[in-house]
Amino acid sequence: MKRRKPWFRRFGVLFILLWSLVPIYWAVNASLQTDQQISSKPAHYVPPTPTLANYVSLLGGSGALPDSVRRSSLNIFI
Amino acid sequence: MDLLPYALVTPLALFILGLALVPAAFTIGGSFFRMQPLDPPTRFTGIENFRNLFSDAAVRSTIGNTALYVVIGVTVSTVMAILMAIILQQKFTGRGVLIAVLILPWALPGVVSAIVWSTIWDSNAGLLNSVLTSFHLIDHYQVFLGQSPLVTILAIELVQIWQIAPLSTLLILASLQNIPGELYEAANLDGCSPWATFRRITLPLVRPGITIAMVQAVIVTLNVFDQPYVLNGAASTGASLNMQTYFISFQNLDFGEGYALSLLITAATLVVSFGVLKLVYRPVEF
Repeated sequence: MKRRKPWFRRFGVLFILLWSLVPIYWAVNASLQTDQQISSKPAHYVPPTPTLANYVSLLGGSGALPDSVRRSSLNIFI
Repeated sequence: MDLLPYALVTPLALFILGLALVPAAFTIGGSFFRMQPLDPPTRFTGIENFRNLFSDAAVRSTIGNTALYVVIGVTVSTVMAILMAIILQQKFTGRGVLIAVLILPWALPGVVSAIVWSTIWDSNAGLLNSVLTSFHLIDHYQVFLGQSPLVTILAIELVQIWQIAPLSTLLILASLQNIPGELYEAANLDGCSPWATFRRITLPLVRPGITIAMVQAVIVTLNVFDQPYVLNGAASTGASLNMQTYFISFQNLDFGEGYALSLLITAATLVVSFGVLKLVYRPVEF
C-alpha cells in the first residue's frame, strides 16, 4: 500500500471533522441560546446558559408556528 | 407465452412514459406557445419565448451568475473530494466514523444547510465575523452577502460545495478502492515519490470516479436554487437560472417562457455534462 506521511493524514482527518461539524455545531450552539445571547458581539462559542426553551416553545407552545411544526411532524411520520 | 416479458415490462414502461417522457414533451411543446393563464389566449408563437429570454437583462445576469456557480462549484468540490478520498483511501482506526461524519452535510436538505450557513455569514452575529474580529483581521463586522456579486456567489457556492463534496468524495473513494494494491507496491519498490505515485497511478485510474463526481456536481450546480434563494433572496447579486425560471413561471405566471428557460437549462446541463464526460472519462481496466 501507499505510504503517506502521518501529518498529511492527521491534517486531513482534522479538516474533514472541522469542515463537516463546525456549521452543524454552530446551529446546535445557537439553538441552545436565548435571542439576546445569539446576537451578542463577539458571538458565544459555547452557550453561556444552555437552555432548551427554543425547543420547548417550538414543540409545545401555542400559536401558528408550533401548530404547523406539530402538524408537519405528524405528516412526515405518516 | 411470448407476451409475458412485455406484460412484465409494461408497468415500468408506463411509469417512465407518464412521469418522464410525457411531461418532457409538454415542456418542449409548451416552450413554443404563449401561455399566460392571467392573460389568455394561449397561442403558438414559435421561438418568441426564447427571443424574449435572451433580451431579458435579468436572465442574462443570472446566466453569468450560474456560470460562476458551476465553475467554482465543480472545480472546488472535485479537488476537495479527490483530497478527502485519498485521505480515506487506506484503512485506519476511526475511518468508518469519519466517513459517517463526512456524509452528514450531504444528508441535510439544501434549505436547511442554507439556513445553517446563514448564521455563519450573518452580518450582525455571524460566526465568520466574530472569528475574524477576534483574530483582529477585520476591525468591524462586514456584510458578506448581497454586496459584491463575486463574494456573494463564492459564499453561496461554498454552502453548496459543503453539501455536494461528501457525495463526490464517496464516488471517488469507491473508484479508489478498485485500484489493486500491487500497483502501489510496485511503485514503492521502484522508488516512486508520493507525488509521482499520485500523478501516474492514482489519478489516471480514478478517472471514472472523478467523471461521475464531476457530472453530478455539474447537474446540481447548474440547477442551484435553495442556497441562493434562502441566503440572498431574489437579489440579482446571487440569483441563479433556476430561480429565474421560478420567478418567470410562478411570479410572472408566464408559463411558456418558464418552459423555454427550463428547456434551455436542461440542454445546457446535457451539453456541459457531455463535455465533462469527453474531457475527463477514460475507460480503465485492471
